[in-house]
Formats: sequence, structure tokens, C-alpha cells
Amino acid sequence: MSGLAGLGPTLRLVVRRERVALAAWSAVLAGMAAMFTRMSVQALTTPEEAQRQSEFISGSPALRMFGPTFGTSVGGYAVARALLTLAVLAALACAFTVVRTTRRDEDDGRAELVGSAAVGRQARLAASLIVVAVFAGLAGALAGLAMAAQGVPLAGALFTGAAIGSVGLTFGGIGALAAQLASTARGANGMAGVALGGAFLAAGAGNMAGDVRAVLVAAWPVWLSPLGWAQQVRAFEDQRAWPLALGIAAFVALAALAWVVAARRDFGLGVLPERRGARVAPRWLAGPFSLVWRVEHTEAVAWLLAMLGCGLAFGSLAAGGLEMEAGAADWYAQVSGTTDVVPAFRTAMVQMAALAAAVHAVVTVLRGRSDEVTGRTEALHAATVTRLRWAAVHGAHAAIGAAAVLAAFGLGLALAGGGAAADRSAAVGTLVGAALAQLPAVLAVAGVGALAAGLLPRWAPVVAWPVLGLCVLLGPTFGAGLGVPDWVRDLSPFSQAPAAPAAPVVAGPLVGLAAVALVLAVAGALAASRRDLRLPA
Amino acid sequence: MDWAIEATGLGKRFGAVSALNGLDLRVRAGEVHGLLGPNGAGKTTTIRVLLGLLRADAGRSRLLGGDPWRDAVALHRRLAYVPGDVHLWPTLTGGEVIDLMGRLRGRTVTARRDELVERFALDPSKHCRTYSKGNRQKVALVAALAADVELYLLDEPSSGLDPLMAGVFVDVVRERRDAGSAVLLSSHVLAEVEALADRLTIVRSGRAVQTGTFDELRHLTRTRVEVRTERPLEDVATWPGVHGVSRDRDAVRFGVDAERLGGVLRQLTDHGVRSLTSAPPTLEEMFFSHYGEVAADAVPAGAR
Repeated sequence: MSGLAGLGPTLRLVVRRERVALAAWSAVLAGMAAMFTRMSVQALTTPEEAQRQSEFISGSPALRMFGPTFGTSVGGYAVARALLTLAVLAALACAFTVVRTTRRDEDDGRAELVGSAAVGRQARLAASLIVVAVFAGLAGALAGLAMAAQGVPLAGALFTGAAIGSVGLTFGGIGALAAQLASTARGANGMAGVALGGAFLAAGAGNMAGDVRAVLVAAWPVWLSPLGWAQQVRAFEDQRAWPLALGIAAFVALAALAWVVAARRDFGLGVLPERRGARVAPRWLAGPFSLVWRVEHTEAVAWLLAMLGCGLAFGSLAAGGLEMEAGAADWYAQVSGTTDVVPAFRTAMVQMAALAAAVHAVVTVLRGRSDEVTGRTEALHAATVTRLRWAAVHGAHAAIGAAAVLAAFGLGLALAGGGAAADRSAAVGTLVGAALAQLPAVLAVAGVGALAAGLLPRWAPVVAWPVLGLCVLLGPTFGAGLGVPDWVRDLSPFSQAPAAPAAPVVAGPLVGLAAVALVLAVAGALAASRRDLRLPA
Repeated sequence: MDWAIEATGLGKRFGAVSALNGLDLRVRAGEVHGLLGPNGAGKTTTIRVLLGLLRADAGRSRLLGGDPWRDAVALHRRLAYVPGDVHLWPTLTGGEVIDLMGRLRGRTVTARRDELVERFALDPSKHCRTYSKGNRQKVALVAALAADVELYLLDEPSSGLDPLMAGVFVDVVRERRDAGSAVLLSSHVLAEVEALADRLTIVRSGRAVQTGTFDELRHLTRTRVEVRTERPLEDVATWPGVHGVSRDRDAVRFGVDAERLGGVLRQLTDHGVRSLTSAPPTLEEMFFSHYGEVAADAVPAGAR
């Protein structure tokens, strides 16, 4: 096969380049597997304790979103704590490695050098996939052995390792296909990242909405997700091998697809072609506000559709009838402050949507400063755009964007909510309102990002993301299970937002949170307009 | 005298690094002024201070009669800028960037925009992420030079352009000067500054070491002499004003300080001159006489 000519040397080149990075990834995965297992072994010293903790996780929809328990073994508890993290890391390692050794090489011109020699069209792709497959197998086996060394049964540990490896393998395939479709490495990594995010959401939603009988029976979205397949191996319960086969089959299918595409496309270009654009700017593109919209509108629309889709998905779960076991019902009651199941569920969903909207708002606020440190704003400020205006434009985009995604989520939740048409149209008002009631809290969190961007442009992400993380952790969704005092949890703006639709929306906290957001944003903008522009050298 | 730029004693520190140490710069209205210096001399920092992007720690500066920091927006309507390192939004086309910049400034001449796109052979319908370095530079150049303004600030504007396009650039800058605009041209492409600049300022380590017209600066530097004489020039290296003697068979080459040239010529005649060529210093030699290691100690006294 001429497509594989030169595979040997190409393979050695990939191994030579990636061996240190892949060895480091393997060590991190094995180390973390050992650490999580050790923590579990030390925490659960008696069978009663293991049972209590395992049932606590499977009874809490929020906790099982991050990993369900099957059965009551220590190993199973360790899997619930560790599998998602390790699988995500393995997925990132594999996808990034494939993209780096295929598409990135084309971007940087290295592949041109190799391709001009007697090397087949698909040799680089094949070499990259072989290396990643071997890595996924070895890293999974190592992680399994590392778990077993901490004293959990060997068979279960190896099944866990295999589950981690299979997720890595699948995402190696996704990376390979993305590298063929996108026209830049950045674009390919972005596609793989979106796939991973989707897999996380699908598995999380499926587990949340699942039903605990003898063991957790997850809802259907789990089966859309490679991460879900890995969880469904049930490594320390009934050790099912066929979900592993799903991951391997997905890898083979994706690799074959990438292979076909690689044989057809032009060097350096993707399948999704680089289209020509406008020779002249549209009339409305005349200032910083329209510039930000022009640059970000694709992403904004994607966010909007994703939030609408999530709203519809959760709404239809609620419409299908919520049969909750006692533990889950307790959790919803604690989070929302009501024992009425449907409003409690909807409140918990709206509170989670607020977390996503906050991510969107922080991304938007930080984008202004990333344009600054990468040098793109230099020409704008050298024209007539003041720093104050640039900050204000990003604040406005963050507020409008967060409001839009919240409203979309509320709309989806209401439209898929079941019941008669009249009920649904009434629900639209209630649920869109409930979602929008989260906006001031979202903006208060994003305001910290705006202040950081104004004061410390270089360090703003390092400030903004941990602050968001902390606010999320202390907020209603996760804070209830933490066992920290109420006054600490009250520091999170999410804890201050009204628990609607379970509780009525009252003006006091909304005005307070909005004032906090405004003060932070104005302080950030003023700081930005008084300092030097932080430009690349 | 009408000054487009008037800066005295500019100082700027970045932490422990001192970028500007009392830099003086005066650009007349309607002249092309070259700002010449090695990497890290402070050229870009100077321009960014003049644009109000950075705030000077010391000194005074006036730009088109206004304060660069306080009056930034009003001043920026009357000037156009090409950054040294052009970063564009990857998803916008070149044409969109050019039009956006024009609308922000409010003074683009559409006919000139189209003419410049043509002359620089730029395809404005391509997305910025697909442009090469030279093409990104062209986008910034067209965006700036299409504007009808009093002052152009150009930071190493022709880096990345091929020789043909560099020639187009020189033509366009001359046209803007002839139309009455002032141009501050930071560069280390010496031929370009020599071709364009009416006056120039040489900066080193954050201060201006020389400023003036080429003729004025030439007086402060050395003339190259190559001479063949009947009697050997054994002690030529000890003559006052003579530097860097080298011998090639019967020819002797050296540099002479401008103010000592007469005396050296008289002494040469005493040795029976058979052939003599001399050349005024090129910009390149002036540049190296300020920055070159060989001549690092030979900066004329009182050059500041």
C-alpha cells in the first residue's frame, strides 16, 4: 500500500518526539490512580462505611454526575472518585498527541519536509494512531496496576485501567478525524474539546437522571458518551467487557474515516475549506461592540443552541416523570428548599445553568484582556477606542450573552416540560424568569474577572477561574454536601440568587448582586484606563 | 516652527528595565523623520508613549499640539499607526480590518483604499489567519495609509515586505509627505530611511544620540579613504583623526574624522599620492559607527 510507504521511519520519528510527553502522561495517570485509590482505601475501613459512602454517592444526583457507584466495594468507590478525571486526562493526552503529530506538523511546515520524501499520504496518520493506541493500552494497564498495588482486587483494577485506556483510544480517533476536517491544529483541538465536553455532559445528564434500583440504571444519554461507556464497565461489580468494545469500535470507525479523508484532501488544508470572505466590511461593522460580535458570533450561537438543547433535554427528563429514590429526593429538597419534586428538579437545573452561564460570562470578560496581551487591541487603542470603552463593550457582551443563554435554557426547560399547551406557555414565563433571576449572581462572579483584567491583565485568568470554581463549589449545587458553615457558603453569589422556580423571585438579592457586579466592572474598567497597555514585547 | 511631535526627556521603566532614558525627539510638520536604532533601543516604546498606550514616567511630550495621554482620542483621529508586530483577528478578512480601522478613525478615503489594495497586491477577501507575515503587514499599511491624516506613525513598517512591495511603500510614503503629512518612520532598513527621511534621529539605550539631516550627521562621522602612495605610509595610524587602518598590498584604507580631513590630505600629499578614492559615510557606516563593536568607542563627543 503506497499510502503507508515510509511508515517505519515516520513511526520512529513520532516515538522519538512524543516519548517524553507520553511517559509523563502515563506517570501522571498511574500516580493519580494510585492516589485516588489510596484515599478511598484509607477512608473506607469497614464494610459498613463503604456501603454508607457508596449509597450516599449513588443517592446524590450531583455527586453521581461526576461518577456513579455500582455496588458497595472500596474499589467501586475509588472508581466513582477517579474514573472521570483519569479518563478525561487520557482523552486529552490522546487527542492532543494525534493532532500535534498530524495537523500541527502541517501548520508548522514540518510535515512538508517529511511528505516530500518517499512517505505515503497516510503514513503520518497511521504512525500517530499506532503510537497513541500503544500509549492508551500501556497507560491504562499501568493505571490499573497502580490501583491494584494499593490493595483493591487486581481484576477490577485492570478493568478500570482498560476503561481509561478505551476512552483515550476513542478520543485518539476523534482527534485524528478532527485533524483531517479542520484546517488548523487549533481548530482540530477545539473540535476534540467540544466532543469531550459533550461526552461529559451526556454522561453527567444520564447519570443524574438515572434510577437507583439494585444498582444505578443510568438514563439513555450515557450511551452517547465514551465516558459513559467507561463507567458502564462497572469494573468492581459485574466487570462488563462489552462497553470496552464500544470504545474500541468507535476508535476503529473514526480512524477508518480519518484514513479515507486523509487520502482525498489537499496537504495543509482541511475538508472544511478555507472560504473567501468579504472584500469590504459590512456596514454595521463600525466599532468595538460590533467587532466583538463579528469575531465571536459563531461561538455565541453555539452556546445558545447548546443551552437550549440542555434545557430541552432536562425538561423532557422532568416531563417523563421523576421517580426518585429517597436519597435523591432529599438532595433536591436540600438544594431547592421544596419537597415538591418537579419544581425542586427544575430549580436544581436552573442553578446548574447559572454555572454554565457564568463560564460563558467569564470567558467573554477575559477575552478583552487576551486581545490586549496578544497585541490585537494595540491598533484599536491607537485609533479612537478608549480602554474604558473596550472594557465596557466586553462587559455588555458578557451581560447580554449570559442573559441570552439563561433565557434559552429556561425556554428549553419549559417547552419540553410536558403537560397541556396552556401549561407550557405559562411555564415559559415562569422558567425563563427563574433562569434570568440567576443573571445578577452570574455577573457578580464575572465582575471579579473584569476587575482582574483591569488590574492584573497578565494574571487575570489565574484569578478569575479559581474564583469561579470556588463560587461554584460553595453554591447550592455542591455546597450542601460540603459540610462547611452556612456563612461561608453565603459568600458565593450563587447561594444568594433566588431558588426559583421553587421559591419566589424577590428583588433584594437581585439588586444587591447587580450592584456588586457593577462596582467590580466599573473598578476594573477604570483600572484598565489608568495603566500602561500590557502589550507583547 | 510647527512641530508634529515634540518630546523632551522621555523616561520609561518596566520594572528593573529602563526602556527610555531621557529621550528627545522633534518631528516637524510635513517631514519624514527616520527613527533609527538597534533592537531594544526604545523605538517602539517611544511610539507607544506618543500614542498614549504607555504612560511616560518622566519628560514632556506634545503630539500635534495635544497631550498624548489626555487627548488620546481627539489626537488619534488626526493620525494613523502601523504597529511593529501586526496582530489581526483571525476570523476577519483583511478588507474588514481595513474598513473597521477606517471607520474608527473616520477619515478613510475609499478611493485611496481601493487604490492601495491594488498597488500592494493584497487580496482583501482572505481571512487574516491565512495571511503570511508580509500580507498582515500590508493590511496594516493599507489601513493606515488610506487614512487622510496629519501624522503617520510607522513602526518598522516594511519588515516582511518583498523588495517590490518595499518599493511601493517608499512611493506611497513620499506621496503622503508631498500631500503635507508628517511621517515618523522607525526602521532598521537603512536604505529605506536613506531614501525617505528628511531628518533622522538615532537612538541607543533609550536616548537620542544623534539627530539632524543626513548632511549634518555626515559631518560628525568619518570619511573612508583608500590611498596608494609613492613612499610607504608607515606611521599613518598615529596621525590625528585617522582610525581603523588596514593594508592590502600597496593600498592603505582608513577612516578620517570629518574635521581632520584637510590635515590628513596635506600629509598624504607629502608622501606622493598615486591614487586616492574617498567616500562620504553612508547611513550604514553612520549606523555602525554608533553601534558597531569596532567603533563603539568612537561616538563623537557631545553627540547628544
